[in-house]
Amino acid sequence: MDDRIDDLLRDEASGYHEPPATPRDAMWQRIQMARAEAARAEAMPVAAVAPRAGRRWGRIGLGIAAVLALGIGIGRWMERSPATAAPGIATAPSPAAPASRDSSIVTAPERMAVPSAQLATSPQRSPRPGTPTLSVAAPGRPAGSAGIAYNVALDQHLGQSEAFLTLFRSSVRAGHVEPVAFATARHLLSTNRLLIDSRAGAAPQTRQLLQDLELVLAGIAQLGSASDSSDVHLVTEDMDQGDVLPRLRTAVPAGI
Amino acid sequence: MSDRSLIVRVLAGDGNAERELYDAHVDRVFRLVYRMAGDMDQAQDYVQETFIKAFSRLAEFRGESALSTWLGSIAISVTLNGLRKVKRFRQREVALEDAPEIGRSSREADPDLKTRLHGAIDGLPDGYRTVFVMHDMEGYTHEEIGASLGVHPGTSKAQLFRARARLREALADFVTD
Repeated sequence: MDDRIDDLLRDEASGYHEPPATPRDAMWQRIQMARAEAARAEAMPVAAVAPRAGRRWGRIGLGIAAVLALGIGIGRWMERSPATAAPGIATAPSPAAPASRDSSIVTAPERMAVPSAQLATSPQRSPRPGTPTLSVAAPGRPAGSAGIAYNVALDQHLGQSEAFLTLFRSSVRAGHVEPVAFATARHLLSTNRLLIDSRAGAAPQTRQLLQDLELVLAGIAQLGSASDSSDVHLVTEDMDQGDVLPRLRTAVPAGI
Repeated sequence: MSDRSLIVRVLAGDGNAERELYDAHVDRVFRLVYRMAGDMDQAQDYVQETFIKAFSRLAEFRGESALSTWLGSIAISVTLNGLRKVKRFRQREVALEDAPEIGRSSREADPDLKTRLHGAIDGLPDGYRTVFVMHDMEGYTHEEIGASLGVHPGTSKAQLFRARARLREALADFVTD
């Protein structure tokens, strides 16, 4: 009896998720693009970060405006609250970690508010172009409890967004997007807006990622059951053009 | 060309060597990742992330294991992490909407053997499924699996034994029928 089952296992299990031919060139192209994008953003002056996202704002519809206004309002209100204005919160880059070495991709350790005294003992490698800097330095990152809370919220948001976009893209590929996706996108969009407008989120590379993510989420939120395939295609195009998913994956720490 | 000399060239900034290294290993990585993910988009994403991480950390590769084993460990880590995130999010989304179904086939559907087996493999705990896929489907040795997963080869053998036992259990009534 066990032998029969073992035979069946051997014969049938090989068909489990049977891999198709490896799309070598397509993957290589995307790997190179992601690395080049990271290198480009790393070399980009802080002041030049915003315009790219700004050019695409026109594609966001009026329907999102209300959500954004609400998010901005809450964000501004939070900025003025005593908790975020506490003296322990440093928003300026520390001398030990100049802003010029910002990487384009915010890796998990960068979000950890590690005191600069500890940073001094950390071995530093010079980053290779196109690769995330795995340093524990936190330029433009807040310290203190509000900063930690922000970082936790940011990690959770990026993790949820990554999972959502992965599922969304699979649904698009399968030709059926569940209506719940639109509501989820709206929910994530409002959180995204709050994170962008929070003073604690001042690191330019974080803002860039959140802004690109916002365009994608806004696009999905605008879709409805009546949307045609070209609308959906525009959204997935935005995702691909901005390398949003790979950047999210790199930014989200393991286990989130 | 050996992996060692390829690594030296990559670290020296040779773009052709990067491509050579990628070409030498991508098939094996892709097969493993696809087996685990079962989805083309996700598999491609995880493979890409694997190589991006590998290139950025190549200077840290000490050569204590084969490069393929090291790449396998990154691939498994990236894939399991990605799959867990998607799974958690999906559960949260379903709970939010109180949706009655999530696209899984029902137990009453009387699936054929292949469907039953594949469902049983899907249902294995991550550790068992990883070892089962690596060993029984992709032909990794227990030593390679142990090095990739950071466990003793004996642990890999034990997990494979338990994985097979669970699958036998899942298929037992089918065979009796």
